[in-house]
Amino acid sequence: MIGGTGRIDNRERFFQVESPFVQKLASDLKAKDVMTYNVITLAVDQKVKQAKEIMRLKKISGLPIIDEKNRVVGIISIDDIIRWLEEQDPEGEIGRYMTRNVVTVREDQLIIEILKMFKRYKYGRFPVVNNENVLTGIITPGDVLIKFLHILEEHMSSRSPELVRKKVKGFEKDLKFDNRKLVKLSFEIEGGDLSQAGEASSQLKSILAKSGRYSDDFLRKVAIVSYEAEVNVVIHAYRGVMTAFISPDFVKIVVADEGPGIVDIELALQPGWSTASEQVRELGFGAGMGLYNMKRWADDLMIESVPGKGTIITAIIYNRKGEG
Amino acid sequence: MKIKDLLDLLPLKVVVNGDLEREITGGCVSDLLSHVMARGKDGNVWITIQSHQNIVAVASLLNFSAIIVAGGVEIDDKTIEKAKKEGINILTIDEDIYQVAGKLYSLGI
Repeated sequence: MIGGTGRIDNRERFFQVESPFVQKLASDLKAKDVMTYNVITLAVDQKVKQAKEIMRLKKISGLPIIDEKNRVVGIISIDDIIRWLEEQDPEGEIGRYMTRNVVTVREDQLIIEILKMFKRYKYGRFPVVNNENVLTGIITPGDVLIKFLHILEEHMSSRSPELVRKKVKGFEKDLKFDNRKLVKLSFEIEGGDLSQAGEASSQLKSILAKSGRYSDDFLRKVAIVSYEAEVNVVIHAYRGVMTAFISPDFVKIVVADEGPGIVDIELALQPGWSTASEQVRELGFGAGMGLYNMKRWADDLMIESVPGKGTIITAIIYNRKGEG
Repeated sequence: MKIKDLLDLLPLKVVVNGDLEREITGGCVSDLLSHVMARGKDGNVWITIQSHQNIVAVASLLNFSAIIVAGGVEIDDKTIEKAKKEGINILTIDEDIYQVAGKLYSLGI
């Protein structure tokens, strides 16, 4: 669905699914396609300190607790560990501290439903169970995002021969529209390569400008939004892909990266807030205006991010007649 | 006023001659690229002390009439190369940003 002019103001829409591609993915995939299978589990009579050590060593933030028949009876998370620490009970057993009301999902449950559950419950993970209620896996928002990124990458490399690291030479003259189809252009963005920052957005802008279909105001908005999204990938992520879906009436820019993600989207949208390094700031980047600029100039902006995994930014800019 | 007219009025050095016939629509002063992205307008001259190649991308995206690199800052070779390719005017001046901006303002820009 393309449409709607509301802007993202907070993380309420964190998992709101609007892009048709993402929507299709979320409706096609099931928990078992995405979940982690090798789940580390503990039993109620084991010590909390064991759970703490496992969580520290494996860098995980929650462990399902199972009974002798592999059924989930609880979950122990960082919050429970903190409670245990406060009680100063070094030999305390898991049974006393774990959370008992565990929300589980079924193996064949659709990802779109699970995403909605993440939004509703605000939990970091759901244990996955089969029809006999036996634990078979665990799923986090990060698992979903990684799966989406992989599919997106495959989708792009198989479907768009114009995926470019090199220049999109000669494409200008081909920017002819079939009313039912969007022209799609993809650009790879290398993380950390500051010297190349702005290349992809410059190319996109010049292609759009050469078509002669767009107002100056529209081109400026596209330039700002694509530039900021590109610079974010260069500064913060390992790599990313910017894809522009171009129609005579709008451009939709989707920038997906593998990177550290955004821990607090609402905070990151505040002007002046930045996690950029000193080195990056000396070059005049990292002013903390990137997401704010995107929000200001895009007609519709959606940010999906999972800390430690990556971020997908989707922005739509409409080419309104009579402006510019 | 055009960029070439400015050359007669201020001690500017032309480092890259993109198109000196460009008309100046106003000015923009900042070293933070995102601030420039947010505020810069088509045809503006941009006064900065940043001299690395990313300034060319910003000027090109916003269609600036010129970049004036102030404070006697040297321009990187890569910046020059890129500006030539993109047709972006780059001028340098020994005076500080404050003085340059003040002079441009008093010239009616």
